[in-house]
Amino acid sequence: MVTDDEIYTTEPVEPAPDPEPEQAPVEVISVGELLDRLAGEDSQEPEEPSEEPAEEPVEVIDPGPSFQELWDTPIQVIGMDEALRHLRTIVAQTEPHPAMTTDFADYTVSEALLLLLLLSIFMAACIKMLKGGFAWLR
Amino acid sequence: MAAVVAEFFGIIGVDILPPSNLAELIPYLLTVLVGVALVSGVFRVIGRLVELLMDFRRW
Repeated sequence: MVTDDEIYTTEPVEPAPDPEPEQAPVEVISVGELLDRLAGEDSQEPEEPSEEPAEEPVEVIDPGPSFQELWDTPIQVIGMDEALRHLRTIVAQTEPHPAMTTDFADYTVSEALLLLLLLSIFMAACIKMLKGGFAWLR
Repeated sequence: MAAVVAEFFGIIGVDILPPSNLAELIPYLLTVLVGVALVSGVFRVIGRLVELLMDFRRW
């Protein structure tokens, strides 16, 4: 038989918090002082000792034009004119040409020749008609 | 001569501006054809009348 004196209860033990690392003491400075320090850091360049002998002048390689200069400079690609001409031809051939609304300036050579044939027939009809009307002058 | 032709085309109703596409060209040509036919017909009648007069004088 177990008595109450013999029962031991345990409680979860929380781990002890880690000791906070020691922080460096915070130095409070004004903004002007901070700017002065930053300016001083920029101006203080590490001075290397000039113990090394003077080297021979190194040939400076010209880096060439910048990207912006290259961007602004017109570039001529060899064969681009011919390619553009081919593209214009393809566009002109594949473009829809409605018979009634296409401007005469946009006609292809075949269409212009057909139009010329139509006008020739019209002119021949007109001349024939005029010859019949003025036959009595002969 | 050009003024006379222009006046004639103005009378029969042909526009001064040339047609720019086929939809404008067809009525343009039809108008010109009608005008030419009218002129031809009128002068044909005149010629026939003149011929009749000449034949009448012969009688």
